[in-house]
Amino acid sequence: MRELVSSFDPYFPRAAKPRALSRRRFLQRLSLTAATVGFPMIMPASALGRGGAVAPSERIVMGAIGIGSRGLHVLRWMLPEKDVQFVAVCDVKRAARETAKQTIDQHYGNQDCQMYRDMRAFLTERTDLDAVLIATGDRWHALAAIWAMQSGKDVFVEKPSSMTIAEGRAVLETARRYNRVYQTGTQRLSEANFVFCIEAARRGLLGRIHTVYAQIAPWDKAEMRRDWLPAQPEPPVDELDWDAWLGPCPWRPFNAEYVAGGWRGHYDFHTSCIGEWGAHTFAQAQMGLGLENTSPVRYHYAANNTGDGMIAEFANGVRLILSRGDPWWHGACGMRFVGTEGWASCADGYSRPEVSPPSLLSEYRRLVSDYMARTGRPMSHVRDFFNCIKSRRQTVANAAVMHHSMTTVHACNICMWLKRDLEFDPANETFPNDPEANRLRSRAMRAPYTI
Amino acid sequence: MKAPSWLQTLAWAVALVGCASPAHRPPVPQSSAVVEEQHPVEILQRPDADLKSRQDAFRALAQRGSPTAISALAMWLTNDSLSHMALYALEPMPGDAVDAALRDALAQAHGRSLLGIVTTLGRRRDPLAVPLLVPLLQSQDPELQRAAAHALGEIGTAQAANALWEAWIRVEPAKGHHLAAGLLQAAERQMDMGMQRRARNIYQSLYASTSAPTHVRAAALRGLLVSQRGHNTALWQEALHTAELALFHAALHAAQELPDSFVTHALARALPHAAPERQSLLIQALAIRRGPVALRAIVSLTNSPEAHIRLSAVRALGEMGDAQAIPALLAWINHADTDCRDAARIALASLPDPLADLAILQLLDQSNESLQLAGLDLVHRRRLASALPRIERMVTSENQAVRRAALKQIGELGNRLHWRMLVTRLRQIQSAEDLAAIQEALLTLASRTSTGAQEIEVMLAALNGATPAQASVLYTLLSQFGGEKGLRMAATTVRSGPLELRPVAFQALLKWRDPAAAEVLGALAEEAADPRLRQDALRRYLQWASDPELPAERRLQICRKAQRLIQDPADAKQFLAAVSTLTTPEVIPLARPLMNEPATREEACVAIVRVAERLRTQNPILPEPVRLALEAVIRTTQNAELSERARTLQQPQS
Repeated sequence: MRELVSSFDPYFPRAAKPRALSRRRFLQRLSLTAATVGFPMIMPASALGRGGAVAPSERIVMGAIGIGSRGLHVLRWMLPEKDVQFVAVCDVKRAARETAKQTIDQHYGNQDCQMYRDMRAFLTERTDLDAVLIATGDRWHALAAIWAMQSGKDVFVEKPSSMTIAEGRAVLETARRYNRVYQTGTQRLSEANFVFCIEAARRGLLGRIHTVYAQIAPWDKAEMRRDWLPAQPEPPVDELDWDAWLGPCPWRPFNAEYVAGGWRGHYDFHTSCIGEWGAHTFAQAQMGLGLENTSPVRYHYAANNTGDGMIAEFANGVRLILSRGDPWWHGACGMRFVGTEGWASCADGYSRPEVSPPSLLSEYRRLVSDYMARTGRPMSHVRDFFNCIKSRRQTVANAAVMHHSMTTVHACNICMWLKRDLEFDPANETFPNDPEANRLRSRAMRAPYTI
Repeated sequence: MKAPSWLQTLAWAVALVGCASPAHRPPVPQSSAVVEEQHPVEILQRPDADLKSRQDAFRALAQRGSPTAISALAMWLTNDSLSHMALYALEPMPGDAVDAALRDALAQAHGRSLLGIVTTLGRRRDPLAVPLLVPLLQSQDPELQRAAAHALGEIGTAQAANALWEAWIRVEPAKGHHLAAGLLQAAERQMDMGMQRRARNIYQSLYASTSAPTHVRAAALRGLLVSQRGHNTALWQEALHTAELALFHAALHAAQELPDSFVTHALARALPHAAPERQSLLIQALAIRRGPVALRAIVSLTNSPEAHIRLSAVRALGEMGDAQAIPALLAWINHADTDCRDAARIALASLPDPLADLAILQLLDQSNESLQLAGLDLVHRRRLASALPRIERMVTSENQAVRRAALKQIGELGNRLHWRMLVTRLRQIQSAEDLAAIQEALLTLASRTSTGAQEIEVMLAALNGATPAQASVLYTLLSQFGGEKGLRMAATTVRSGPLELRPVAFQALLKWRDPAAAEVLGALAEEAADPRLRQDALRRYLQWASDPELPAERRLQICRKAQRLIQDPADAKQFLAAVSTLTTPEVIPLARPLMNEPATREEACVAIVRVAERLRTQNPILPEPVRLALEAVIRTTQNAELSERARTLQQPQS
C-alpha cells in the first residue's frame, strides 16, 4: 500500500520529505499518536512548583553504583528529571567512575560529583543520599541493594534482582524492614504496549487466560559455563578492584574479558538465557495473570540446552511457556497472552501490540489510560520510582513482584540444570522432598561481601 | 571425632527424612549420589590438585555432598584461599554435623575465613553457635562485629537477641548500625517463632532510642505497627503526627502491609489535621485502601484551599475506582482549574462502573454546550460507543465546537455504516471548518475500518453536483483510497470537467497514493494546455520516478519519458535526482547530456557517480559507458571530493 499524502508541494524536494510510511505503519502511527496524546501527567510541573524547577531541599539526592554502559544509559534517562540530583558515583573500575562523573558534571555544569571505589564506604559516608541507582553486573545486584537499603537509601537496581531464590527473599525482607522504595529496571512494566497486553489479560478481554508465552534470550544457553578464562595479571587496585568486582562470587583469576562483558554465560555471574530476558518477561507475564505474588508450582524439563519450550505451570493450571521467540515475536522481550477469547502479543519495537480479535486494539488508549488513572503510575519507569520515593508507595517493579518472578526464573534454571521435572511450593519457597533442588536455592557469599 | 561411615550414611538419611513435607511424599530418587561425591572428596584430599579442580570439587559437593564429605570439606574452612569454597559447599548441606564442623572451625579461623564461618552459622540459624558468636560483638574488627551481629540476628533466639541488646545499650548509637540491624532481624525471627511480645519489646526499645539513626527508628516503628496489626490507637496517632518525616513515612509503609479497617480509620482521622504536604501522602495511602471511609475522607479534600491537595484528591478518586465518587468528579469536569478538570475527566473516564457510562451519556443530553463538550471529551476518553446515537444528533448542533467534536467522535467510534452518513452530511454543508472536520472524521474512520468499493461508490456519487469545496474533500479522500474508477474520474475532470472543479481534481492527482496516477500525470505533463499545470504534473511524475516502492524498470521508463519533457534547470535537477536513485547503466545516457549544461553540470556529475557507486557494489567491473562517463566527470566537475570518488571507481577493485 502507498503512503497517505496529506499535502503535496511540488517545489519541495522529495528527498527532504519525511520517510515514506506504508499504510500499515501510518495507521499504526496514527493510532499511537491518538493513544499517547492526552495521557495524564502524573507529576505535572505545576505540582512540583515554580514551573517545573525544584528547590534543592525538595530534590531527590542520588548516587550511582556500578555505572558501565547500561548504567550510563539509565543515568542519562534519570538526569533530565528536574527533581533529581546525582552527587556521587561508585565503581570498582576507575574508567567507569570517571566517565560517570564526567556525564553527571557535564549535565549540571559543575565539578561536584564525588567518586568512590569502595561501596561500603560510599554507602556509609554518603548519608546525604536519598536513593541509589545500581547498575553493576548481575552478581552484585541483590547485595548492593540490600546494603543500600540497610543504610536507609531507596533503590533503583537493574535486572535481574537476584542470582538465587534466597537472595531475592533477602532483598524483599530488607525492603520491608527498612521501609524502602525499591524498583528493578524491568522498564517494560511501564511501557504502554506492554501495559496494554497486561491489562487486556488482567481485565478479561482475552477471556480466561490458559497460556502465556514469555521470551527468553535467543542467543544464549540455559546450561552455563563453569570454566575459567586464562589467568592474566591483575591490574592495580585503583584501576580495577578485582576482588570487589567478584564480590560475593567464588574467587577466580583475573581475565579482562570478564570485565568487558564476558561475564555473561558464566554460572557465577549470570542467570542464563532464561534470566537474561526472563527477568523482564516473566514479570510481565505474571503481572498479566494477576499472579505477581506467587510462582509456578510445576516445571517441566525441556530436553534441549536453552529451555525453549519449557512449561512452568501455576497452581491454577495456567501454563507459562518459555520461548526463544521465532514463532511469536519480531522483537525483544516478547510476551503473548492466550485466552479463550483472543490473544495479545508484543515485544520491543512494536508500534502497537498484535492482538486477536483486531478490534481489541480500539481499547488500547482506554486500557492504558485507565491503568494510569487507577494506579497513578506514569508510562515512565524511572518517573514511577521517583514518584514513589515521594509518596512512599510501592513501585510497579517492587521487591515482592521481582522476587516472585525471579523465583520463577531461578526455578526454571534449576529445572534445566538438574535436567528433570520439578515441583515447587511458592508459599515456603522450597522444592518439596527434593534436597538436590533445594540446595540450589542459595549460594554462600564470599566474605566480606555478605548480607 | 570422626563417625563411622555407616553412621554418617544413616545421619544423612535421617536428614533427608527431616526435610520431607507433612505430606510424606517420597524423595525424588538421587542418581548415584554417593558415587558422585567420592571423586570430589578425593580431589580435596589430594595435595597436588590444582585450584580449579578443587573449586569444581567444592561445587560438586555443594550440590550433592553428604555428611560423608563434611570432614574433607571442614579441613579447608581455615584455608585463606579456599575457606569460602568450603562454605560454598557446606552452607546448603542439611544436618547438624555441618553446624558442628563450622563451630569447631570458628576458634581456628581468622580474617575472611572467620567472617565467612560466622556468616554461614547465621545463615544456618544454628542456636548452638550463639555463645561463640556473642564475644565477637566486642571484636576490634568492625567487619567481624557486623558479621556477628548479622548472624545473631538471623539466629534470633532470645539468647541471641539479648546479646545484641546488651551490646547495643553499651555502644554509641551512631556506631551501632550493625547491632540495630541485627536486632531488627532478631525481632522478625522472634515474630516468626511466635514470640511476639519479645519482638515488640525490641521494636519498642529501638524506636524509643532517640539517639538511634532515624532509619533504624523508622524500621522499628514499622515493625511495631505491623506486629500489633494496627491495634494501637496512640501509636498510630503518634506516628501520623510526628515531626520526623522518616517516621511518618514508616507509618505509611506499615499501612500498606495492613489491610485492617482500623488503619484506614487512623489515616482518615489524621487527614484533615495534617500539613498540606502530608495530606497529599495520606490521600495516596487512603486511595490504595479504598472503601467508604477512605472515599469520604478524600472527597472532603476535593475542596481544599490548596490546589495540589485538590488535585491529589481528584486523582485519588480515579484510583479508587468507586462509583460513589461520580458526583464529586462531575463537579470538577468543567472547572476553571484545568489541572483538576483534566484529572476529574481522566478519573471519571476510568471508573469501571456502568454508572459512569450513564453519567457521561446524561452530559450529552444537557442543553449547556460546555457540558456537552465535556461529555464528548469523556466519550472520547472512555471510547463509549453506546453514545453514538446521541452523537449523530449532535452533528447538526448549532454550536460549531459541539458539531466538530461530534464529528471527530464519529470518526473515532463509528463503523462502516457511518461512512454514508458523514458523506451525506458533507454534501449539506459549506463551512470550510466543518468540511475539514468531516474530512478528518472520514480519514479516521477509514483508518479504523476497512474502506472498500462500497465507500468509494458513495464518494463518487456524492461528487455529482458537489461544490468545489465539497469536491475538494471528496477528491482528497479518493486520492487516499481511490482505485481505478476514482482515478479515471479525477483525470477526466482535470481534462474536461467543469472549470471550477478542475483544480481540485488536479490537486487530488498530485496526492494520489496509487502509482497508477503516474501515467495520468505523465500524460498531463506532456499534453496539458496550462504550462503551470504541465510543470506541476512533471514534478510529481518525477517524484514517482524516485519512489523506491516502484519497480526499477517502471521508474526507468518514467525517467526516459520525463527527459523529453524537461523545460528548465529546476526540472532538470529533479530529473537528475530521480535518475541517481536507479542502479542501471541505462540511466547514464540520460544524465550525460546534462553535464554539458552549466546549470546542471554538477548535479549530473553527482548522479553519474552515485549510479556508478551502486553498480560497483554489484559488479567489480563497470560497463564501458559508465567508465567513460566517469572520465567525463573527472574532467568536468569542480568538486574535488566528487572527482576523487570518480577516480576511485575507475581503479580496479581489490
